[in-house]
Amino acid sequence: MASLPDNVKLLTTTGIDGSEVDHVIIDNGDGSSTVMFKSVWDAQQELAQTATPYEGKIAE
Amino acid sequence: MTTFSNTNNPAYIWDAFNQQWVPIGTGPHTHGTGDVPGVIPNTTVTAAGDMIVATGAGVVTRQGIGSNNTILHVDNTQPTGMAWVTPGTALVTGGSTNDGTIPVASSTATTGIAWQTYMAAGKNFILNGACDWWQRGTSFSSGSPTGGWTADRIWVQDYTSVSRSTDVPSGQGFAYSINIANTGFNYPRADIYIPAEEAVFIAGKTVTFSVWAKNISGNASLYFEQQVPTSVNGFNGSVTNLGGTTLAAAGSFSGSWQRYSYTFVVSSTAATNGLILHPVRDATTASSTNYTGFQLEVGTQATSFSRAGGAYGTDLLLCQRYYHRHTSSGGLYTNFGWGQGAGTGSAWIQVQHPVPMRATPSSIDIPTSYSGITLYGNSNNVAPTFYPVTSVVFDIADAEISSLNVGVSGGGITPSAFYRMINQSSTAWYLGFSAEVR
Repeated sequence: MASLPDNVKLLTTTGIDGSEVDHVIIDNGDGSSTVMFKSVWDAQQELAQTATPYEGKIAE
Repeated sequence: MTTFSNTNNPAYIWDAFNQQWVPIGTGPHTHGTGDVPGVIPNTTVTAAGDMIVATGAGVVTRQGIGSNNTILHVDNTQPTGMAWVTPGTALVTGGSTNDGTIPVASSTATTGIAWQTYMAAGKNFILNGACDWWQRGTSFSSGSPTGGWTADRIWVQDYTSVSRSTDVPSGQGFAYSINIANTGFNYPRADIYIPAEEAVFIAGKTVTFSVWAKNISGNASLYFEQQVPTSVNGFNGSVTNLGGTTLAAAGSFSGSWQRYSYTFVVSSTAATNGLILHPVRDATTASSTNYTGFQLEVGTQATSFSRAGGAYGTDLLLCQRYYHRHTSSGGLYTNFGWGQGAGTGSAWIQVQHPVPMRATPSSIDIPTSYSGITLYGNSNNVAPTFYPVTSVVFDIADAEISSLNVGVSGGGITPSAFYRMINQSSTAWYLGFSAEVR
């Protein structure tokens, strides 16, 4: 498993069906945290890898 | 010898009373117009299409034909009581000089038509266009060009600070604007994401975007453009920039509030992938801009601003489909949810969302510190006590009722017993749920 960024912590809990579920707790650095299933976070990270850099307006 | 004609000719007798000859019998003859009382001379009309109309009782005149494609309408300021006008121009004196107004029937108006502002729920495709709602807070700072959510439904990129401002255009009804300031970034912009399920109704159609804006500082131009994601609601990933227009040129962006608008055709791709709109200060290293009154509507005119939901409260409910935050506004012991013990170290706490969210919520938004937040309860027939919370994660994420797995320090939770999650000693705590599009 790839290591997580310093501001992201992993927490594993047991679900209602007894299965283990991974969560990430992201310290946003401004006093807030964002918590989500690790599977959701992985999908968001994968999509973000494709993000198009913004380079200003195109010709009108 | 006299030859008698077979053609009938009248004879004439002298009318001594009216002092004129009067024909009798049959045969061709002529009259002066004065001979017949009330006759209208055919010389009244002089060109094709001319009409004979009254200017008063028993008085007629010529109403000349109008120019091509004009229409005749009632106009009581004219001698004939009517006039030719070009369709689309004012039919009611002083009416359509107000851009964006629409005609409505009026029994009190002389012409039966009056012009009025057009406010209607549902015409504006931008939620929180009036910048009314700031569930996540009213000031933000960022050291990253990626930016983040600020006012509800407004993601800002390339900013150093965003704040709620009471500087608003006068007389328009707005209470707040959003101030976006940047130093060091190049393209401070307010991204407005319209997901595919909403954009499908405007894809391929001509729409008009409008916004009130004010240049607080900086010489950069104000530019507007549309983009579309390359995947379904993939606002966080690859996008296609479709360009736009300069709303205010560099050095000409006014320091006073002005309403800017741009009419364009929405990309057909928006029907499946969603739509991104943003005003942007182009190529600047320092600027500060206020915006309010974001509106996107079908048609070629920017009409009067309307909240998407039609009212202050309904706009909040629509925003809460994307994100909602339960704060400690009730003071200490505010209830954030209730449920049952899961094991000795945790409980399943249920939270009903104020409205069904647009999708299964993807994340929970909480303070980094759990100080003051506790589970309150105990086993049956035992006085409740406080258990300090140490973690809050999803048990089951759901668009209507989410279940949280709430951990406590020191154990002591009784499985299946009833517990509430409350703020025992801090009013700073909050619990947010996001079903946002990025």
